Amino acid sequence: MKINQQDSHPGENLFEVRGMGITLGERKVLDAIDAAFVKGELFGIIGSNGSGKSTCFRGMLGLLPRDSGNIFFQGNRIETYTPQMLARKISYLPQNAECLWPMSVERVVMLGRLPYLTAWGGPAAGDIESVDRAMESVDVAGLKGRPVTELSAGERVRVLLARALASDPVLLLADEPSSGLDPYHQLQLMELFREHVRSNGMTIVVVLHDLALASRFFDRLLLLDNGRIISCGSPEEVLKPENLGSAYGIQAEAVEFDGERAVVPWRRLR
Amino acid sequence: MTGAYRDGLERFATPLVLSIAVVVTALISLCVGTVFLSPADVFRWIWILDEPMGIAVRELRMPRTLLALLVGSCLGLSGAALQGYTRNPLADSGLLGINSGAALGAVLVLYTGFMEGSGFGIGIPAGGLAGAALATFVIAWLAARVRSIQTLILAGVAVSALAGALTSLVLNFSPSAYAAREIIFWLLGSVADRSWTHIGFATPFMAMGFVLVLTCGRGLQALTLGEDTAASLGISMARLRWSLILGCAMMVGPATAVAGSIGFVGLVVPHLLRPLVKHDPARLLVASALGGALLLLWADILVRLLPVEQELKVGVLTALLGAPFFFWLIFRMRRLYQ
Repeated sequence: MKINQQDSHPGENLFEVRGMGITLGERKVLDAIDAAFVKGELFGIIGSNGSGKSTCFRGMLGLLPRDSGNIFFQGNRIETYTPQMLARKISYLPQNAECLWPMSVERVVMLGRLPYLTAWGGPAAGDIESVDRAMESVDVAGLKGRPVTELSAGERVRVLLARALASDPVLLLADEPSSGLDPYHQLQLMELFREHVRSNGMTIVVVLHDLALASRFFDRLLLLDNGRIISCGSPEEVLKPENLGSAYGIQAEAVEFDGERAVVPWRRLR
Repeated sequence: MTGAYRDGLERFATPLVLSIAVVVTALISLCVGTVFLSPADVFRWIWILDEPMGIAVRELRMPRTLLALLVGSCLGLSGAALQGYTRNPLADSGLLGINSGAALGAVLVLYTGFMEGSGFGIGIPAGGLAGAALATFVIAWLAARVRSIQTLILAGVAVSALAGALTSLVLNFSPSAYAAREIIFWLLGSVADRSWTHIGFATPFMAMGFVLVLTCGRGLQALTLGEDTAASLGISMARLRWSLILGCAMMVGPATAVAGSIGFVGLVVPHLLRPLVKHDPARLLVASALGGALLLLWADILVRLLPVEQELKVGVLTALLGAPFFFWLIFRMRRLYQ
């Protein structure tokens, strides 16, 4: 932490990671990660299993200790914010997110307002408004009285997404939200992300495995391999054959339809 | 309106109804004994200093009733808090092994006390408290090193097993069949024949633990969505863990030190009340404290009413009622969580 003593760092970036390294147990899981997200972009993080994608998120959120590097949010060192201030600005949707108790949908979504609630008081009118807006925006308002444990996988992901949106964040980090969803709901989720980025200027960063979705919907991608960044930039740039070959050991084909380009994994190389 | 969080006054209805039930049950508890009294009689006898009946009401029935209330609420509250914290519906107040530690401490005093021929006084709760403190120390030491909730559960099991084994060891070496019987009877758990001294001894700890655990409501709500999500919602997981471990220890330790091991209250009560508070882990806390008090008060009334030669220990009754409930719970959970 001695590299950068100054607390603020002027720049355009909403969120910036510089030189982040994370060690879990004996293993160096992430090394020298540099990444920056700007306002209003849909950013994808891809990479093979165990390449450090989820660890990267957890490191960015401060859920894991870093051995090195600095993180800046809105130009300031992340340590200058209180956890509550950050919780109001940055939302996190973890992998395999679930709800333990059979609470009603709107009660679960209301949990997203926790950073705004006082210790004992109930929700204010503004909190209820945000919850309603979040449920509306991902089309779960009709489910609000249902116990969340009785929903289908697609419905549950949308409810938990509504929970993450209920705090009116400027940055959303979603870890493999589309895994376990059928193609219909995967497309629906990507469209929801795109819509939130375009209409609210929100920044959404998604960890995902599906290269077709990654190439089609995302503004920029970051490709991780073995804890290091192989490539970062536009989907076309990142999903080049040599990158896919070294990161995944696969060859992929590009298809074009309706003026959009998608990459489809085709064969193994090793 | 289905609005769960738009409850408004409904939010206070469950605690209010439970509070009234606790007060009424406590009054009934004061009336029940070898001699049945009317509530008016109870109030009359309280103020009569010299008469045996007055002494019986003041020195036997009042501490007994109050202790059932206090111990029950501590068991209920800690059960609800630990179920929420470990995200495990089978957790209860005994999860951390604090009660086993307290039992071991008390049994050791009971054992050595017989050697010295001293009576049933403050020594047993003091020993229980020391045992609880030791168990808490071990759990806290482990919790500080390993931060996962799963490990905490395993540590609790280990502490329980060790304290249980040592208790068996003490029983094994007990000098006479009579001493062993006394130890076993104490372990069964009861609120009968305790004095105001016992209550004065346990209450300060219980009150501190109570307040500490009640501050965990928001954290437990956030934990519904898992540890990482809770942390991302601005909840300090370290603070939550320490508040819960210390808070539950300060409730369950003294409760066991004074009343012995009373099982199943902490397990059963939160499950019974969860539907009434819309499965909200924060609202469940106060409700479970009241529900635990209510359950133990009724159980203690029931043991006095049962027509058996030797009065049943209340811990035996709660286990007798609790175990079948446990079976039902397992079957119901198979449906809910599969």
